[in-house]
Amino acid sequence: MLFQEVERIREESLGVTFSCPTCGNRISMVTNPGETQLVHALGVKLGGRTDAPQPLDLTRETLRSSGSTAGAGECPFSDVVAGLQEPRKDSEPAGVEWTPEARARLERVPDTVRPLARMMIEQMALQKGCRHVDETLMDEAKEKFME
Amino acid sequence: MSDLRTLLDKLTFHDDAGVQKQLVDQLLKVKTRLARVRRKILVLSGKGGVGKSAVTTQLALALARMGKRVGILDADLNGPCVPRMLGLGDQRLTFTLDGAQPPSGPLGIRVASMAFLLDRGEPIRWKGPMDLTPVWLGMMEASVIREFLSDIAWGELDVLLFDLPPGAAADKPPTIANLIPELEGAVVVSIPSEVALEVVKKSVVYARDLGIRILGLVENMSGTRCPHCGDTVHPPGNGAARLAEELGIPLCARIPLDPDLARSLDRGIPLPEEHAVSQLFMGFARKL
Repeated sequence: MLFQEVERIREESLGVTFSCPTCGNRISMVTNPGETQLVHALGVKLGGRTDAPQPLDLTRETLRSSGSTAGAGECPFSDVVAGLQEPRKDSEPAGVEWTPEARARLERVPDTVRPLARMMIEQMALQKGCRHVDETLMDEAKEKFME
Repeated sequence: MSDLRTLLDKLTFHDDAGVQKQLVDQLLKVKTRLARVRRKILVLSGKGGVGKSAVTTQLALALARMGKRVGILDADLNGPCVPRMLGLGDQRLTFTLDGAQPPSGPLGIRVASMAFLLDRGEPIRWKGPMDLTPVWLGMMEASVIREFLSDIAWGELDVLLFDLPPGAAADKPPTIANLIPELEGAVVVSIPSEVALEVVKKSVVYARDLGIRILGLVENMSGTRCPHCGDTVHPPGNGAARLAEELGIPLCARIPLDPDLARSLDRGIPLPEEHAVSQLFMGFARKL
């Protein structure tokens, strides 16, 4: 499988896409916050470094400044992937609207797989030509993915 | 099963994400940086509170008095105290194209420490939602030590001492031993207490398992020096000597609990060379 791209799906979650060199099929892996942070702790950039590393950059970047509160407004993973765009906000998915009921059901999906579930449901909606996710689509997705 | 094996044989690894290359580059950077350091020595102990940092600083001073160019890497990330002991408590690292420049203390001793990145009295706080996860913390601390090894611009040094954190240290010695090319060995610090010696013995055995050569044992707080007559009174028993003999390592020094030394470390002002404790460390340094 060949590495294709990395997308920051939301804060602390990355989608890493690989493709088969023979058939072209693509597989995406979604990291949960723990996995993302473990990659960060290695001091590497997915996709390779394009800039020269600065002295102690991992240490300085990951140290929380005095007086700040835990995690507030500080994404420690901004440097994991070079040149990565800002993550999508929940309120502005990739052209797909979520009804409040569907969004509430998505929130009940465990944290570790929620980004993947969200991505798959949005892809399913787009394939059906839908621009919104409602409970009916959620039921269809559940039936399809739980087969 | 055989199908799976066939499939496995067909799989090829592509480092398209560049992770493996970056990890190799990190290690090469450490090797290149430490190539300019002639001797690399760990100071460790299985027990906390036995005076590893005190021994490290006094050994560094003794080596510097012998004309050596000395550096100390304070690898105790969570409780760094080498800077204060050498009067460098208010110093910071400065960053240049060549790397992070370590402040110079007495006799030109160069020091790198996490204390130089923290406000005085502030503990380390890491960003992120998993900042208290043991696995992540272990990886992060290993990476921080690796960065200190690769990014501190020591220049040419005759001796670099690594002041390790306390504990039987299941993680730091292997991390450091794996990272440091041509590590000469370790000085082990204990106190006369049988309880401490038992733990120290475990750390010696563990270090040897990792292939770390033990250069010698130092018995710190080895009795009390009388402020009136100057004589040193040792506690009963001779545990450190017995342990050294049992493990086949030299007992390099017995350092008394001296009020002058305690004041010197608290104030960050070195004892004069002619002081009895300084002379003990000079004798220790000559044995290394």
